[in-house]
Amino acid sequence: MNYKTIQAMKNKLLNFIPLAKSGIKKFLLIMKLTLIIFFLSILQVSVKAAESGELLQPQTVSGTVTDKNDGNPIPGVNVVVKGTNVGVITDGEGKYSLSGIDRNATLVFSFIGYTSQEIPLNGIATLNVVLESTLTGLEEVVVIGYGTQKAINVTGSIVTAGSEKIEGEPVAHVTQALQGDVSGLSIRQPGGQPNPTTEIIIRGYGTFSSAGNSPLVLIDGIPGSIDNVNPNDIKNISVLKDAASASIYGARAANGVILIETKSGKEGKMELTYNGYIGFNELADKPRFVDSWIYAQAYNEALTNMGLGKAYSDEDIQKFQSGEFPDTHPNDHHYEMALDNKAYQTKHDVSLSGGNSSNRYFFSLGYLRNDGLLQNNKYDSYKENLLNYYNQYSVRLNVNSDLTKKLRLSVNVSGRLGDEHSPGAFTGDQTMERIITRLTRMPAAIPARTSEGYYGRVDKGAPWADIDSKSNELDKDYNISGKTDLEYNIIGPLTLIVRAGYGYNNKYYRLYVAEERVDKTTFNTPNKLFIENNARTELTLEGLVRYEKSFGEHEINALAGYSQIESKYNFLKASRDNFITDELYELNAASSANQKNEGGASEWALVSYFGRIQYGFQGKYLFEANARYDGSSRFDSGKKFGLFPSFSFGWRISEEEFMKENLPWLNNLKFRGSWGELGNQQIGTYPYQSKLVTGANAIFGDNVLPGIVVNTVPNTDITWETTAIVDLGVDFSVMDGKLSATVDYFNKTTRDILYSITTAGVLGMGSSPYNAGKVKNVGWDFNIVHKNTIGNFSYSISPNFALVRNEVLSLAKVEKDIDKGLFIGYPLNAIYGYIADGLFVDAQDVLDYPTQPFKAVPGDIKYKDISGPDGIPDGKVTAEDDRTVIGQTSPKYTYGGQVSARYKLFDFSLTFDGAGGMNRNLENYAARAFANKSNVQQWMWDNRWTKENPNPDAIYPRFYTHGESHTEPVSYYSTFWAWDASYLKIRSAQIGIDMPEVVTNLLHIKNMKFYLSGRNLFCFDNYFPGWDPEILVETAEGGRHYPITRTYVLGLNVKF
Amino acid sequence: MKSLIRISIYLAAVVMFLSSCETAILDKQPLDQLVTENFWTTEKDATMALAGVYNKATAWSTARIIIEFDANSDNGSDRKIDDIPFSRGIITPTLSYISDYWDDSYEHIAGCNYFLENIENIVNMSASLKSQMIAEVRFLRAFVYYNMSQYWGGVPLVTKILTMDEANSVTSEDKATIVNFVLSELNEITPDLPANRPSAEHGRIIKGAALAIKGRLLMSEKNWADAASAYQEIIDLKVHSIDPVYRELFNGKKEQSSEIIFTRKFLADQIGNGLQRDYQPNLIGGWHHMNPFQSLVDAYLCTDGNTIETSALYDPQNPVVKNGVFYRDPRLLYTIYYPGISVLKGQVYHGHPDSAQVEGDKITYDAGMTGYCMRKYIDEEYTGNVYSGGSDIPIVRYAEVLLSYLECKIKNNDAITQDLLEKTINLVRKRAAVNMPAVTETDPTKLWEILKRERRVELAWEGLRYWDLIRWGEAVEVLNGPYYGIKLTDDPQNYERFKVGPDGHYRVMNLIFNATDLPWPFPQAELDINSSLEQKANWQ
Repeated sequence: MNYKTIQAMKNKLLNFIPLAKSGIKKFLLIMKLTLIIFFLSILQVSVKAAESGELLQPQTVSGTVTDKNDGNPIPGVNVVVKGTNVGVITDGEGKYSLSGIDRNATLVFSFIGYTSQEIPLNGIATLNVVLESTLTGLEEVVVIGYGTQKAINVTGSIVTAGSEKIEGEPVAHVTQALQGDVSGLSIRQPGGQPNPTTEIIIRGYGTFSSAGNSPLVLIDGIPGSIDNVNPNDIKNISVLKDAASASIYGARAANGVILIETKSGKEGKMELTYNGYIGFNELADKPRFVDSWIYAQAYNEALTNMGLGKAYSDEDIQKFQSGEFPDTHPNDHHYEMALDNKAYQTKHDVSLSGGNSSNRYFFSLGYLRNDGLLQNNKYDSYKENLLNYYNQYSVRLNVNSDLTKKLRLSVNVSGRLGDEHSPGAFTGDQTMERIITRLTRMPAAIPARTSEGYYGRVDKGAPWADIDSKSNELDKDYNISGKTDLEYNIIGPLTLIVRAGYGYNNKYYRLYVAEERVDKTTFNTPNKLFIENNARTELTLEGLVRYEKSFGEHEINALAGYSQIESKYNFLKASRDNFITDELYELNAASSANQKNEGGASEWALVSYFGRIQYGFQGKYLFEANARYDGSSRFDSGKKFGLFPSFSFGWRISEEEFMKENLPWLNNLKFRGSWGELGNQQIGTYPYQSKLVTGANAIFGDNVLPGIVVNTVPNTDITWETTAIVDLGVDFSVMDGKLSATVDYFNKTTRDILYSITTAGVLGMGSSPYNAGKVKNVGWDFNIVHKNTIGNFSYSISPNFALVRNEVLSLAKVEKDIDKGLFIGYPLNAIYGYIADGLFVDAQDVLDYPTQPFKAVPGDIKYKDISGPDGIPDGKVTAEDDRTVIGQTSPKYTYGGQVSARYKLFDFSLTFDGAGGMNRNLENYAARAFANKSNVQQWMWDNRWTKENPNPDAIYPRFYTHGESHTEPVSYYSTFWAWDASYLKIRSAQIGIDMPEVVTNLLHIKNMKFYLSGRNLFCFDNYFPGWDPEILVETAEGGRHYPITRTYVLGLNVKF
Repeated sequence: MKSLIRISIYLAAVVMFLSSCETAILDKQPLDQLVTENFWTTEKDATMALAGVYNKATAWSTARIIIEFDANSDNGSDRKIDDIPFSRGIITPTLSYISDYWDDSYEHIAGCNYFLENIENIVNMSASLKSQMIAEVRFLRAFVYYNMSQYWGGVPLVTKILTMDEANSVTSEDKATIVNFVLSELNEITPDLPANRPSAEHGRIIKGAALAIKGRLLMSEKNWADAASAYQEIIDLKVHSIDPVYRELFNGKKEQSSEIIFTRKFLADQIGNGLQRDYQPNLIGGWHHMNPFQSLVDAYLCTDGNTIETSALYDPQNPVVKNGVFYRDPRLLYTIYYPGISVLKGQVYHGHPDSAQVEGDKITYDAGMTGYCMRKYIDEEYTGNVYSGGSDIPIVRYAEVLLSYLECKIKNNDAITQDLLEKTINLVRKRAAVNMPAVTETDPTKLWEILKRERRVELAWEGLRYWDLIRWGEAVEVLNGPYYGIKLTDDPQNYERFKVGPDGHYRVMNLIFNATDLPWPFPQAELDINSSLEQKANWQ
């Protein structure tokens, strides 16, 4: 391919644009073509550069040599033309330049302490080389709680991820970019919203209480939300998985700790970096619904099966098929009409960094725009169809100053604004997800819109009326956080640090609901506005003393500190109705007649003392002890304080002489072991107090009389949940660090789990939590990294695997709590139900089979009689005796990995992740035909039981119309519906190309890279057709869900 | 060394400064909620707590239990057929309706018990006010137990706040214990209740309510004599009377009528209900939930006081209006939208399943399912928020008291005199808005049939029909078999469009009622937790 052929291709592509008829198609085509042409242009420039390069002979070659570990330039590297004496040494900035050399020469790069590299030139004019330390990782430093530590000395279980894993991923939040990267860190994204949420679990679910399973996240030492950091600002992430590394965070560390370190400036010339991409996302998968005429037949069949008359006549069915009556007999595939779109995505990050010997800075600005899939589809213009989009703005300034020789100040200030726009609906909040659910429920036999301007309806609403209305929802999320560290080197090894951090988060929510004319008879009125303002502040004050000293063969690090955190939350809600116009969304624009408001506040505090001693002898024998003494406002006096200790040791056996002599190829082998205890105090703000709930008002006469009620029985004895973790690990590396691995075994037991014992309804009140439960997680984490360089080609493969067996050890006085899915001896999130045994074939089959807990007819699911009141099958299937644990919804194992490769200017990477061993029961509208009048999916129609073909093994039972809950016989929890939810996802793939120096010189830039990146590319699973096993499908209150999206972007990375 | 000491002192100072405020920092109290310790001191507290009890007193006075319970009977069906599970043969211990009723009941009972356990702590209020409040709360608790006794028979009797352990190990009392408890409670509190209340207190419990519930319970126990005297006491209070109007008692226009003895209060946009949204026909934007059967339509007499089978006025081809004259009991059109005749907002109501009015949405709930639509609680002029309307739901009316009184007299074999008829059934029939011919039949057997029919049409959609059939021993006979809607064809043999019965009426559904449906099973979730609770014998 040469320059001209590419030009010809571009021209041909441009000719397509006028062919697209409708505006929206044209728009999409233009988008696609723009992307292709953009890429071709880049290729063209590169080819041109290469072509012109060919003419030069002999040539000049130049470049920069950097350290693989920290990316810093390496001065003093020998660069020699192989087989000659011609050579130079890199300068202070790691740069070199050689001229007048053969274009087919091979360059040798060598430097003490680094692996040498030989690279054939093949006419390349710019050759940037990354050298790897022969002490691979030995000098690497990891971030630990309240400090850093040499990786080689770590005795706990810590996994780190550097910025290279995060940069360039087309994601809004860093958690998405980490999917599949870290063993034992399971990240699930339950929906494809433009501003998605993620669930992070470290080493299995430790608790089933409201204390939750979320790890503690600290950003530069201050607690915060992981979503508040711009992924491009992150230098390093440490995941503290075991008690030894996490116990320094005591009462908040039970679920593990994630430490995020943001980038800081380095001494040197100002560096300006731009990183950005543009692209689109689309449905990764979609449920397929039947055509309207099939729906009509299916509905008739369901009614017939129930002994009722048909709803649709033969004439109706013909009309549906003819397509001539779009108002009365449409074939509107609502889900695809609204969601099968390409939605625009873009992100732009700019950062400035640099500094002099005493002041260093890092400054960044970020902008992200994600459009949602849900679009109006009424207009030709993309913009007018747009209903759902998310803008994110972020800013950060990190400054380090050496005020005096002994006094150092660092200040980090960051801000982020998330701004999410969604359509509104007449009922309920989180309206976008509800609209999607309604679209899912709405059969093709109901028109989206009629020629008269009316809308079709399903039981839970009229989604198209909502979509077309002026109703809208706005979520604004403001975050400001600041931190200062004042570090004073008192004397030699002794340093004092005073730290203050302040976080402010404000969430503003606004829902405007416009009046809407649904059809001739339904006019939803009045219009109304709800606003809500939540503010949370968190003030952290800490004092630390650090002692670091080596003498002889001894190395001692010690730390003592005090910390206090105070957090306050308050909210204000207000609403009004009867707005004069649909254009003004403030309270004062409406009548005050029905105004309502609500407000409240709560606060909590934590006071802690902590300390750590690390001791190393001969660099071989390592020992560490941590302790934290935490006091929390959430508990009654006398119960406020708790102690969380940990101990760990390490033995670098590879440093022993006998190992060095006998196994010289072993670069590193270390055995580690740790034990410790951690707490979890997140259990409501005032859990021990007996509160009166206001607002339980009554009407006497025509007046509202304020009332109070007591809704819960209090428990003042409440205390923390405590997690004890034993961790045994091995780290090794061989082949000069080309292959390294880490294996960890852990046993994590959480006791005193706060458990609101499911009480009999007879209590008449909610029960307060008791410290009553115990859960064990036992498992293995494996991490393997293989990296290699062969000439111009370098690659790395880093798979990881985590296995966790979860078991409930005790509950308060009960063997099982069916309501909460808790069974002693079984995992958390167990599925409890009947064992299905196929479908009833005919009336005789019903008679012959054990009696079902409902009036069974042919085509119903057969539930097995597994027991009876006396422990033996009694010929009668009952809820009491014949239900059992039939699976679990959380995975038994998770795995992931990254494959990356680089060849000359090209690089490639691919990340995958998966989970297995779990089942999920997709319910209601998502997987039951006619559940509360829901839609029918093609697989149900194709695989159902019918009278004509009474297949006992049919995947779908007989059709009938039913309600929405799992108390319906068809939907009883059973093996019939608990489908395998294991999956393997190709999470992301990226191809990049570095611009050759000819181009960068031309543009006066340091370097420049283009990349094509895709996310959620494939999912392999056996789950319900069209439904992603990862998403959360809520069925309560009409239901909510948002499908997973696939993203493609074209990105550019430039350094000036 | 010197500097080290100095530094240590600095350090100690910093740490001490920070930790000196530790106790204060860690003492956090709720900022927007009261804590129980400082409550229960003033009369105002008592009133707030009383309001809380009334607020929770929704267990047995929701639209579902009052109005929609008739959709479990031969009066009609709910458009959402799984919302009427009690005459469909699908009762199981896991049915969510059963656990909902159960949980709501005990939540309400706990609310009452909490009040009763704490009210004595308030010393600073008038004794009579206190005893009146106690009587109200005890009534509300007794009303729950009365209802539970009807549905489950014997249930756990909880009269104090339980601990979690106690709740998880309670045992059930037998039905007689529950019945006796309710009767003794009602007997004890009736003297403390006022016979009537000022308008501003409307909705709070009065004597008549306690006596009426006592009457209902005694009737279900077939203790006719005592039931009759309870009703006699209400009549003797002389504060209740039959209102000349009928429709206005149900659609929010005359909520404070003296005919209404016990009512569930609502206030638009504050504590509202969705009656207008749920019950209005599709024609004016409602969800058309309540669908009367032909059986109910046929129960209404002709204006000559005869049934459609015996009246000379009746014409099967023109069953309601002939020659432009409406000739049926007026309550028919007060209670039911009749196709082709009822007019709403200037539009004629049509109920035919193929009618163009039904907007092609055969699969939404909005279209009717029998061709008829319940009208009783609908205010066609309502323009407010349909999700939060304010019309009250009457629970006991004086009309029920009079008809029940007559039933007790018949069942007790008391003498039936014309005077008795005038003071009971004829008062109900002769209200101005109805004005049907007076009953003159004094033969108990014949009168019995007249009374049953009168009770059905007067009290239709007030949640009593199902229980009446059970008391009369007719449930198995009536609540089984096919039920029909409007007439679709005169030629049922050759009609295929919809399922129709032998006389061409729209065949809607089969009702299924088993004698063993009652008492209800205890909810499975409750048994799962409490192993001391034994499932009802008929559900084991």
